[in-house]
Amino acid sequence: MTANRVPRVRRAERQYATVGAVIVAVLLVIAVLSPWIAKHDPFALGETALAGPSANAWFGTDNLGRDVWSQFVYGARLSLTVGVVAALIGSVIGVGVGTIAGVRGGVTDALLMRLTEAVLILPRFIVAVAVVAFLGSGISRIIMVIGLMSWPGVARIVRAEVMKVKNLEFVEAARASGLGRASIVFREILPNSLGPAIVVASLDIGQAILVEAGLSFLGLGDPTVMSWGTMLNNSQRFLAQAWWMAIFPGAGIFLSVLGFNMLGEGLRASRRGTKRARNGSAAPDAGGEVAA
Amino acid sequence: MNSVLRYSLGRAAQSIPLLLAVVCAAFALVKASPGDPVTALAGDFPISEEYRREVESRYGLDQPWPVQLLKYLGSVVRGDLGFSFMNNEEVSTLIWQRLGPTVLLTGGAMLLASIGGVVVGTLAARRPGGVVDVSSQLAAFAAYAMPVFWLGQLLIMLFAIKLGWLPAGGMRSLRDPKTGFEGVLQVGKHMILPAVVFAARYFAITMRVVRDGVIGGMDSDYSIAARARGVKERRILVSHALRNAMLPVVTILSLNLGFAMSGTVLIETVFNWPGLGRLLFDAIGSRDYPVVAGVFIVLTSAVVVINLIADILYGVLDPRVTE
Repeated sequence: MTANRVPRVRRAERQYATVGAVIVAVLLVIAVLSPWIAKHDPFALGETALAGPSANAWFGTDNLGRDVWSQFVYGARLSLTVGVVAALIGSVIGVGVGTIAGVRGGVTDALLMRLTEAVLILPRFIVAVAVVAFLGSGISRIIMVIGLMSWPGVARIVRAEVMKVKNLEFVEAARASGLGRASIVFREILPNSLGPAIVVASLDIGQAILVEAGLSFLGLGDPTVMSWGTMLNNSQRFLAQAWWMAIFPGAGIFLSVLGFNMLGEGLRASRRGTKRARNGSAAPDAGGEVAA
Repeated sequence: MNSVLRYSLGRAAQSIPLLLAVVCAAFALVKASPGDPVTALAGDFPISEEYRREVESRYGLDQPWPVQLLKYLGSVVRGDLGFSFMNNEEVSTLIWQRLGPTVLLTGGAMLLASIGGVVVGTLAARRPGGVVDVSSQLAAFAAYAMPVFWLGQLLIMLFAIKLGWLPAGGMRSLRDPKTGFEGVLQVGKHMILPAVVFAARYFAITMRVVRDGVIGGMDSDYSIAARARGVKERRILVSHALRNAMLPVVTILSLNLGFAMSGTVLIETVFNWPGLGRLLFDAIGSRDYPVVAGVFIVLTSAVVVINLIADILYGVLDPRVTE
């Protein structure tokens, strides 16, 4: 019917990666340089409360007179740290579980996959809320909880790849040439199985940012660091007076999650390359969990 | 039917350890929380010596922890989730009172999402790469990245504060609560914003699934056969491709229903909607630990059970998965 339109869709999907990378890069620069580009200590009380954006305070001030731009900049640092570290923890566990299940197969595989399904079913946001509410809201604990709940996606995809790769000729060849089991796994199977995991990990970063923001919005954030979610918790009472208190931190969360999602989907689209049929979707995996 | 039954029982058997694990996790959290376990069970609230002793004997805090765990499991299975000293009410009663608004909001949002998603998804599938398709794909990207509580704040600022069209929060007007038909209208008006915010993400999911399913269906053998018989394109679209795309929609929506229930915490907090999520938020704020543990157990178990029902439903609708 409209087959001639298809290449345009595919080209657009590849561009997602570029757009995503640009968004992530800008936020990364803000996060790294935050002590220099923030004009004030994000917690320092100022003299004028609820002042709108001006040359003096670019993003206005909050109800305690604190500079919203400075809070925003430190919020970027926190969100990116949480997202990347939590996704890294999840990926390490996921790669471990997925590799063991894929290589060993049999009962080990069945047990590990039951465990993976169980963790996947649990609503990770509610679990994080309960853990933080009972155990306290230190930032390392928040990162740990998110990481420990976000490995199943990577585990499943790595397992599937390992199963595919482990019977290919080059692995057979390595086995025939007398290479040990460990070196086959680490030098032959793993490097060829991690590609799709990077896509999932990139999407996990976005999800982790959303979970942290949601926790902080509920007042469960670490009070010693500035978080976009905490800023939105604060803005809730001043929606009628100070739109700037809500607009900027929310846009920060939205853009950073969008950036990592686009990066992940763009990478997925370019991995699929020309094999991709026109009936594929570029939207994130619809079966996955929807955190915050 | 035999294989479907066996499959359903198998899935149910898998869910029981998970449900037990949820209750054990709640127990472990109460145990691991810093400070006095009586505080963790009764809430951070000055309590009488008499009540302290009652809590201690009820949960057997002087006994070894395996005994305590069994006691805790036993009371949860009996539907006893403890007592909220702060609300002077059984936790199970509190939860029961708040369940209605949450189910209403979740149901309304899911209905909105599935109708909207099927309509827009079908329109997008008519011209892949066309204006509707590309813009709906971008909208889906936005919906996936949107923190629901921020979307809620944006809509409150626009529709409640600036335009004054809709209420900013709550379920009924506090000043002028209506009953009967007018009451229904009032609740409906309060529900529009939270339901739209809630639906956004599930609308995007449904839309993409329908779109992909319909495009695939238009290329499939049965559509080609229908086309060869001279059936009109529109008819193929609706009664062949769309019908076959509905099964994954049912599955994905019912699988997401569980997660959606747990997403209510954030939305109910923004809109002050008097449901389970708002109860949890208030309990966190006032350190009412029995309520936190109770809502955690109920919401998590609901997710597990709804997932189980979705899986069984899928087995009934498509018996191939049970073999």
